[in-house]
Amino acid sequence: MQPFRRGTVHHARLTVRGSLAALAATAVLIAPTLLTPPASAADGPATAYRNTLNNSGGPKPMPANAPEGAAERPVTMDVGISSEDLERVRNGQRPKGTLGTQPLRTLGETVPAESFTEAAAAARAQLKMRYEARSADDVPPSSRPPAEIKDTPNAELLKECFDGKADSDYGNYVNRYTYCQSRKMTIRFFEISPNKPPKYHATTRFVYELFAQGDNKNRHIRVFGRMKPGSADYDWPWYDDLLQTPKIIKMTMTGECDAPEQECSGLSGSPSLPFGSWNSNRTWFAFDIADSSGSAGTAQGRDKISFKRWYLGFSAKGEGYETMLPGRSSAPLMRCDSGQYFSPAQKNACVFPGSLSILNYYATPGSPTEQVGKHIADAQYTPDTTYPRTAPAGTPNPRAKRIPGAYFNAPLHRITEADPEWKTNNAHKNAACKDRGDYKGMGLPPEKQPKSGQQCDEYPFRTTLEGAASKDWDFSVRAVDRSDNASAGSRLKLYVLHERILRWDAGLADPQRSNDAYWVNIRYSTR
Amino acid sequence: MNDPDPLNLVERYGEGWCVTLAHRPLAEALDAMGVPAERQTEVDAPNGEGTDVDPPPLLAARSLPDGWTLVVETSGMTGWSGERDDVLEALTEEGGRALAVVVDPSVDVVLYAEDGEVVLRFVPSLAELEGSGAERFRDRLEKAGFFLDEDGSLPPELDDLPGGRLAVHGAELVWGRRLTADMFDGAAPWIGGEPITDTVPPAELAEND
Repeated sequence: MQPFRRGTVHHARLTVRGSLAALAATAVLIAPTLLTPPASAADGPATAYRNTLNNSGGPKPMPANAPEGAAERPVTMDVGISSEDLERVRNGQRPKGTLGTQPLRTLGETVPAESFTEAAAAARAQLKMRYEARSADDVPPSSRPPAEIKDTPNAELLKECFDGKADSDYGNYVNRYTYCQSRKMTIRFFEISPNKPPKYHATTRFVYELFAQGDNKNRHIRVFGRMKPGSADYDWPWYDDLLQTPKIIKMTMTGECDAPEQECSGLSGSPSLPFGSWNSNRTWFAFDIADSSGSAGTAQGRDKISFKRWYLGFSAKGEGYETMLPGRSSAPLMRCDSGQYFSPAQKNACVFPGSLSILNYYATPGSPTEQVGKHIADAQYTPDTTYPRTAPAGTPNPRAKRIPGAYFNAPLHRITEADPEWKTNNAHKNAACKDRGDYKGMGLPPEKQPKSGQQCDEYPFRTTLEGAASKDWDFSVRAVDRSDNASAGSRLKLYVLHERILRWDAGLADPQRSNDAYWVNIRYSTR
Repeated sequence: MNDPDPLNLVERYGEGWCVTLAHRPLAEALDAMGVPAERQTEVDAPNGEGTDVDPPPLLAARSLPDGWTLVVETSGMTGWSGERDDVLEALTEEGGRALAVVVDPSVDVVLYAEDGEVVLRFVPSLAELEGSGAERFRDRLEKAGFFLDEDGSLPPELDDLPGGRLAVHGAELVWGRRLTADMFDGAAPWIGGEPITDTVPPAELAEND
């Protein structure tokens, strides 16, 4: 049993974003003024516990959008039992539950509300961290359609997700519709007495697993959660072990949304089982979290976008114990929208914006996109070798070309045929392909222009804000076979559908951070 | 004909599709487009759902009045059959006519062939015509607004049309008939299949990585 020193509060953090080392240091530093007696003797022991926390000036929760990705930080929960009940247990008697049900601090009190802009910035920051953490060779597979949401997790995606690095604050993304996380949870049990500081009693540890699927038809996600079978570890006094107390206490799991209920809420029940049963149960429990920001009038922009944080909540009760501070998983973002231009059946969706959006083209010999792939690779990595040039032949180039979209470069943003840039991109591309107008002398020379069976390929794509008419970026054109061009176009069509890449909306707050972005990666054999 | 309200096939099929109209019986049209008789079967109505990882190219056809066949492709993973010169030539051998309109992230183009030759290649968004038959259609298309002004833009009534609907409008002018919703809707069965192609299918590429 961990020795308890007067003046030290052994309570756990609510959030996963502070380190226990920092917490311990904080607790020691403030020890002399840590403890204040409860306001009156009539206050119950749980009030005394809360007062202890309040008076300690204890560690404040980190903002919801604090950068993640630091070293492993345990998820924690505090549970208390009255001294009387603990004495009964020591004497072999049943507890009476004298601590009483305590109103739990909701996470709304501890996680500051985020504005739309802040949440969008958090999503982009997460993306950036993930982006920087990946090596150039570590690219996700090509797009795939979102899996149908069923009563149990999609087995193939489940395996793929947990085969990746799911055991971190950040979790793992298979794609924008699939997320998972596996973390260790520590539950600390305290003896609560009036006029005394909480006294540490026991610890239970286990690993929780969560697997989440976004919905491509509704503003909704489904989160599956469970205790990893066999992961529970009980560090309890011998007499509790004798009575099986740690295994009998019930744990309740919930699916929650960190937002006002009229905007977002968990729709499912809250399974409650003894710890022992959780530990031997392979069942995944499903939690539905629905976003109603659209109807609540708080969604933003043309596509009624909202960013919300969601999480699994944990509480424990039984054998005289009550939850003092609930536990929760880290809270990833979900981005819900009502974009009407994807397909007739997909007019609402929720995705996980922390996933990197990368479109892969294969430039391997014989690939249907071999020529387009090589063109894009040249445009991204050796843009000055591409047409149009920045100066006519025989004249020194006044500057280097800058073409975005590579894996570690500025991203691309989607537009559609309904946007005016679609036509202006086409016009610039055509002029460069035919070496005329503003591109006379700098466009494709006659011998490089498309021949029968070929088309003029352009990069960045016509369907991007960064296309040929962009004032901020350069572009490249090259003759490729029609079939190559059609194949690449089809892949792009499916990619933006599968990954729910929204169309650029200049009306969003902080559009660069709030709008979807994607990158293009070329995979080709060694040359 | 200057219809300001052409059908929206992007809304129906997504950002990539090819519609071919051939003045041939359905089975012959599919055969010329790469789906021989033994592969032709009843197929689901095409849509733009993209439920497959790498959907195979699939041609779906319906018979229209007056001997025309409508063929829809929504996956161009190995190229659009209707866009190929050899396919259009085969469809129009011995006096036939055929038209294909392709809209995808890379191109928007209307192709017209007759009597074994592709005679027109028309890019609606640029009002560009090429081919031996271009002059036959130029007057009709320019009267409908397919010309560029001094700024290089289409007239407002056409410039405001999204690219997909613009292409449909251009195709209708070339064809001389309207593309209507009932050609694509309704209970009439779709007949089609996967065309024979010599391109490496994407699934096999994954093994090479």
